[in-house]
Amino acid sequence: MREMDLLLYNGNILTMDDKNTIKKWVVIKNSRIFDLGDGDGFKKYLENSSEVINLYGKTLLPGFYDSHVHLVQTGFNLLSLDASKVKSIPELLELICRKSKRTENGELIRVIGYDESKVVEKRLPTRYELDNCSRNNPVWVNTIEYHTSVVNSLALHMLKLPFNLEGVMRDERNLPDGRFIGKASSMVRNNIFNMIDDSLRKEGVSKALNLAIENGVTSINALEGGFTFHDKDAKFVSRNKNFFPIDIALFYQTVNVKKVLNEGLNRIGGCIFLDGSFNSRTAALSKPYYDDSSTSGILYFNQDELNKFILEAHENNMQIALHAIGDKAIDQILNAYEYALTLYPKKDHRYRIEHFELATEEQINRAKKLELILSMQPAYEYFWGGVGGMYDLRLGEQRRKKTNPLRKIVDKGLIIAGGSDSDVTPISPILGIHAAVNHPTAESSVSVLEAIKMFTINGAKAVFEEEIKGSVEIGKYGDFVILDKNPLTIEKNDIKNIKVKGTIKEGNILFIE
Amino acid sequence: MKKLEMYMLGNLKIVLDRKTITDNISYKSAGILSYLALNKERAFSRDKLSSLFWETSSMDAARYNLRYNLWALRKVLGDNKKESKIIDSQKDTCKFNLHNNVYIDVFHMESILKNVSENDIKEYIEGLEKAKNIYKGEFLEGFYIKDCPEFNDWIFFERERWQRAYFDILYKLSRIYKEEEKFLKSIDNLEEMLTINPLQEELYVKLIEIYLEMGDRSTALHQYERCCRILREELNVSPMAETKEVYKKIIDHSERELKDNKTDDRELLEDKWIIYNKKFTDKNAKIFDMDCYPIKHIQYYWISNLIKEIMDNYSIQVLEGFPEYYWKDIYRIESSVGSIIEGIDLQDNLTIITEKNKIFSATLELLYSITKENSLSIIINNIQWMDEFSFDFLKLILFKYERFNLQFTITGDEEDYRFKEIRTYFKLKKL
Repeated sequence: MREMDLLLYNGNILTMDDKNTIKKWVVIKNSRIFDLGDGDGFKKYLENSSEVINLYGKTLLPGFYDSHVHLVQTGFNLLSLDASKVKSIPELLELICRKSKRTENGELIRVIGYDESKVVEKRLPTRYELDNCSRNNPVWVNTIEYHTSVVNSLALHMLKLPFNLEGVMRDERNLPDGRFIGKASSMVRNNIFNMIDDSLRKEGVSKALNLAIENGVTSINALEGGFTFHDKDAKFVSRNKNFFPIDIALFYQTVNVKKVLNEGLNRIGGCIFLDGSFNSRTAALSKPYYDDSSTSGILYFNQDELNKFILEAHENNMQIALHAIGDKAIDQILNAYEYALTLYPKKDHRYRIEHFELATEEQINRAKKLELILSMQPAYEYFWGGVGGMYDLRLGEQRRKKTNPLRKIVDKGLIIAGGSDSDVTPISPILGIHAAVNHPTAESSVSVLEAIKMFTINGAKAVFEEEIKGSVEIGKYGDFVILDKNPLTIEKNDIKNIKVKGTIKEGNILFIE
Repeated sequence: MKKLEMYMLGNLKIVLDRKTITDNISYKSAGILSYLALNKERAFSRDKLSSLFWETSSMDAARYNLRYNLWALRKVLGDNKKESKIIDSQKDTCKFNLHNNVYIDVFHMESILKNVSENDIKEYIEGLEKAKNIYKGEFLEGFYIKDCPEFNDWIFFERERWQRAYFDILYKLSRIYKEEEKFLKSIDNLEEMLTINPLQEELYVKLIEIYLEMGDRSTALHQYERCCRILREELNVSPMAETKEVYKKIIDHSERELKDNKTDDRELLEDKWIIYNKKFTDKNAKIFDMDCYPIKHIQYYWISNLIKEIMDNYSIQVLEGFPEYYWKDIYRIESSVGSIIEGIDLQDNLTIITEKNKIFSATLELLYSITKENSLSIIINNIQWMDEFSFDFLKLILFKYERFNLQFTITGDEEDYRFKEIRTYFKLKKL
């Protein structure tokens, strides 16, 4: 009988412990790290380990955390038809026609990423156009950011929408033409997700988790349920969390505290939208948008409502997280946390702000005073940062230079937990680390080690798991990622090219190349 | 002459001489029959019908298919005598003969609505109720023929038209019942409108106003919270300013009620009495401390509060394990049950007695189910204010007391008939 489960040696192990120690080998017994070292000590385990892996100098890190993932929606989107690159309505219809031919009759065809501003017709298709390419399948076209929906006639028939629903666009006969905005689009989305069977959720989530594993992720914070998502997603994750190959910490996106308690959960929120996004000019700003001075974005809550919700969640001992992007929304959530914590002070609450994209120095100070966790997505800077990027267009040069101020936050001693906001950006901690290190605003960038912490030990701290995960130390779970190159020594511009060579969860090899 | 009945408001049902023949007719034939029937007395050219139902076929094939389907229809309908033909099929045209032996629910509803008048309120209500009961669901619910876009558009049009008519009936009924101070009936109609479209904020405002008029501040508040929750979850918005105004009314009402109650409080006796149950084991018992309010005329309010207590204190897994058909009956008095069981659709029209029996039986089973594992202690404060229906229910439990691991403790006016009645039949122990 072999005593040890797995020995990994001849590696370059960045343990991410308090002293940032580097080791050469590690051995796992009963899912936990039994021993590690940097000399020949591993030899005594060679004979009595069930599995032995020579790392040949490759780098091993604690398994990555992705602290902000919409897991079920990522899964659905992986199963959907991507229309983000179509240039015209005929091109979109052709895409749907082809998909329809290889889809079983009756099965839903969901199209995502359609952007009417990018097609020559500058409009949405109608249900009559969609009927021409698919009559045997319900078709649902979602625009980018999900504000608008278009369905074909079969889907319209199945949706059972009320006649007096606001936001139904109609043709000259006063019949719904398949396009829905506002309330109607929300109901369409909700009804469709209601009709979707959990087997489809399972299929999508399984694909999403495989992608996560291939990218070295062993722990995910899944933010599920609620507006623009669906409660069935949260219930699906909650009821299946013990069957997933990697760890999922669920944040239920609702303001209904009782619902979360009834589900036996202790984390509430995630993307409860206090404001929207920069791209749609709905993130709430203290000054108008650069490219549209008529708007400063939208606050979806008033302060009283938010205070009431935060206080109720606080009184019920839940870990809270909320979406706040613009400085005005960040102010609102800081006010609410201050209100609850002043009334009933609590230590080590680890309340979070998700995104925190345009925080001012004063707001960073307030966050420090409250000891908040900031759950941020450095890859936003990779996709939207820099001159000519989306931040630049919407916010102008001055404010663009202040987005995602990672350096200031780290210097203040705050914890940043790194995430992807998948599928807004892909689940790829390597890309997140790269983006944090190569921040387009140099003074906002962080060191490689600080960036790795965001996706390892800080991720663990963001969900009270630092005693069992997040670093390679004796007694912690054997969760690792193996990389082909060492991020500490590689040219910093090349970090994004580092390949994940293996992912190990509690001593089990989930992926290896 | 055979009698044909067609029910199109809901799932299509075709009855010939009291025998359902829907399944004996092909889907397309049923579509043709429905289309002709609703366009009664209008003659359609065969070409028009062929292209409507066989748009993608060649004209010859389409005409052949139409001929075959009409023949099949006439065969099933026994439509062979010239004078009483239901489908009058000529060389080039077709039409539906609406003679005396044909009943179509849509026309029935239409004729009632045409004849009702507000001059006589009693008759007006009766007429609207009758019309309401005819609507069993969407027009040709679930009916859709994939290759017939024009026909499907016709269904979409009719669906909206009849749903609008139904909605109008509900609206009128809720208004009149409110005026007549038949508040529960007014609420039922508003709730039905919300089942169709839960995003209509103004309906929650109407509900809140009725509950306030009934003096039931707690349910008014519950409705406000329900509205906020739905708006937040479905649309991520706060209620409109008008709705917030109504919230202020609830708070004002509450303050008034508090003042009014203070005088009453002095007259109440503080003694607590246990209604002894030898089956009760108080180990780890859950405790519900439930007040009764001076709103005795609102039937079921105490049971409704009991259901809310149960929903707040038991996990969703336990609640979801309770049979759906019982939840459906409980939903009649407590709409928040909709958060446990989705898509409850109460289309039946029960008498008050049957409804009461169903609600009692379902609530009794719910109590039995939750007390199987753990004991439950329910404290009822001010029992003299319990509504009559709920008091009947309480007695029913007490007569079956030994079936439950449950014990009641009551406080209140010992001179009230409720107290005396309990004392007559059951063993009371003073605490």
